[in-house]
Amino acid sequence: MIKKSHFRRSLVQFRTHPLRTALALLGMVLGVSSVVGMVSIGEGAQREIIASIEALGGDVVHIKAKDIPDERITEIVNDSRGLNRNDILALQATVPGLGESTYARWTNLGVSDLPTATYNVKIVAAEPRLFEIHKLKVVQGRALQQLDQQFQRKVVVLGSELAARAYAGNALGKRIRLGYAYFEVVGVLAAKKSGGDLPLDPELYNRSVIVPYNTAIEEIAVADAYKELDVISFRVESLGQTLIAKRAIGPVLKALHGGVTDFEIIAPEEILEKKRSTQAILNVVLISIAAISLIVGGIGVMNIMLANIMERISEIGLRRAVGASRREIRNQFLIESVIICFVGGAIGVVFGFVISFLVGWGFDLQVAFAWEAMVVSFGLSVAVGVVFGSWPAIRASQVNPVEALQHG
Amino acid sequence: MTAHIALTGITKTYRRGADEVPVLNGVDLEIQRGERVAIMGRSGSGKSTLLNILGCLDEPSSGGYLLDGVDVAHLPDDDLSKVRNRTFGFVFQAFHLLKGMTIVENVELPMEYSNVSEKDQRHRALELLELVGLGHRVSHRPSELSGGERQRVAIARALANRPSILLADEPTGALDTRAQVAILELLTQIHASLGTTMIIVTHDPKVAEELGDRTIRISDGRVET
Ligand SMILES: Nc1ncnc2c1ncn2[C@@H]1O[C@H](COP(=O)(O)OP(=O)(O)OP(=O)(O)O)[C@@H](O)[C@H]1O
Ligand SMILES: [Mg+2]
Repeated sequence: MIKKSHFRRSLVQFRTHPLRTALALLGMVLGVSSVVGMVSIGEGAQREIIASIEALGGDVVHIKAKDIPDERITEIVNDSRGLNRNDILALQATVPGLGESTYARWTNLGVSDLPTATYNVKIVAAEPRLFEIHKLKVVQGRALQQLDQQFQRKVVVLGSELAARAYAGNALGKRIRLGYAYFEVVGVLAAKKSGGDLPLDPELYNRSVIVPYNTAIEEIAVADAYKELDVISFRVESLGQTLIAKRAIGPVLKALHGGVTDFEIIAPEEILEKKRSTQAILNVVLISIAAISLIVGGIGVMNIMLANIMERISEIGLRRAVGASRREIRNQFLIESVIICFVGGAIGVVFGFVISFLVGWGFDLQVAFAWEAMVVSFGLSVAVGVVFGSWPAIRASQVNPVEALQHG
Repeated sequence: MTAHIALTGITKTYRRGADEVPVLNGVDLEIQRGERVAIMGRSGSGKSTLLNILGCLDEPSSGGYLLDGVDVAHLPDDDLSKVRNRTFGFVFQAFHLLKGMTIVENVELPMEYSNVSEKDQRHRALELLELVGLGHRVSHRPSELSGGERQRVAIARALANRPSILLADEPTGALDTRAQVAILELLTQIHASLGTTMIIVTHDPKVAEELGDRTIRISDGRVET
């Protein structure tokens, strides 16, 4: 039976051997904080993957035109007209489950009077639903609207980085020249986070000038000899439908394009699965490292408990003489190691969160403070206390009291 | 009336590798309630071994042990521990106080293993320290006490659960003459007031004379007659 006096005894013991207790604690603190750190970083990576997928809309299938080298174009130009607006209608007619659609074409910025370097700046000729479907948030002014498209209004929305560089936050209402026409800036986008290695990097929008598609065709001559569009996006019911849609679209579109695969279909579900499986391998590595450090911590506790017992052998003899049974001696030492592991675990959880926060901050990784991680590491540390405390405790209980009393 | 303690044909043999070392070869002994017995004998004759068997701290190799008519020679550990806790009080030559605790906590120790509430433990311990003349030093550490004072604490501890038998192995062996006298007086006084049965191992005839109603001698592993 476990009594209050067990805890009091342990406290006496810790008070009389502060250094030894601190060392045992340290091992557990390091072990548990590495578990918490590893899990937080792993969990953070997981969430980052999901966030990057969400950045382009999780329930959207994108069809992206492949870059075809010029010499190949002459070869296939008679078979395929490249990605074009007719594809949208044809796909919606044949593939079930495709919802709202949008499309865009992007080209490098040519002649312009933007007061900043225009290297790498893109003109995105967009059908206005692009804002909604690609999750482009407007922080100043407004997004492009169907009327802009319908009446070929000369209005643009600027990407966040471009607006900041060119107009230091005062882009609204400015007139800019693109090609041979003047446009009014009606909106500025919120910054998009990079999707890492996504095939369709949302960061592109940060350095872009978004123009209604019809206006761009008319006024800036963004047309291409071969393809009409760079991207078509369809909304589907959910993330889980994207891969099914991809499989259905593929053959239909290939047939439409005369058997030429001059496009690439991006299904968020597929990307997510790929990234998850790489992450899963990494997680196994992280967790193994954490488990090893926890075991090392446990061995430290065991070591110190054994040293403890050697030193306190005459105490064990005396306690047996005044009436402690083997079971009570065992419980006493077991409780001592569980307390060390419990307290070490508590400090370790806090420490682990601090460390993972610092690592996340220092290396610009996302970390997630998972509740589960805390509960699991806490439980683990108590389990370590029991597992690694058992053997020393059993040894203590089997000490012969007569011999023990002959020591000191 | 059955004897408080009755040993019949107790033997104890230690095994040292392949060798067998016989220490006790058939001890017969009866002790009545309230009696004071001094055990004497050469060094190595087996006095401590006998005392440990009497106190249920060690098991005999063979023989019978009746405590108030109950066979306690081969009980399970839990039961033996209970018997030690309730019936016996041990006093050692080397005191065996726990140095991390105050002396009042040391006296409470046997009560931790019986069902005494914490409040009653403290009350009883203070009462006992008063009895042995250390009521003014209850929160001191054993290291701050003289040898004689430490042995008083140990005696207070031995009495904590109101044992019917006090076992003392050379209780004055580590003390100077003046402290010895004081301890002997204390034990005599305890016997007079509580009527505790006392079994005292000593090599000092004066101690045996003073404390023993009866003295037994051990030689060749037997009680000399
Ligand atoms: N654990 C043991 N293993 C082997 N032999 C032992 C053990 N304990 C005691 N002995 C032997 O048993 C014999 C009796 O020991 P015991 O301690 O009972 O003697 P004693 O009469 O108390 O002596 P002293 O007066 O020196 O205290 C000794 O010869 C001792 O060497
Ligand atoms: Mg002896």
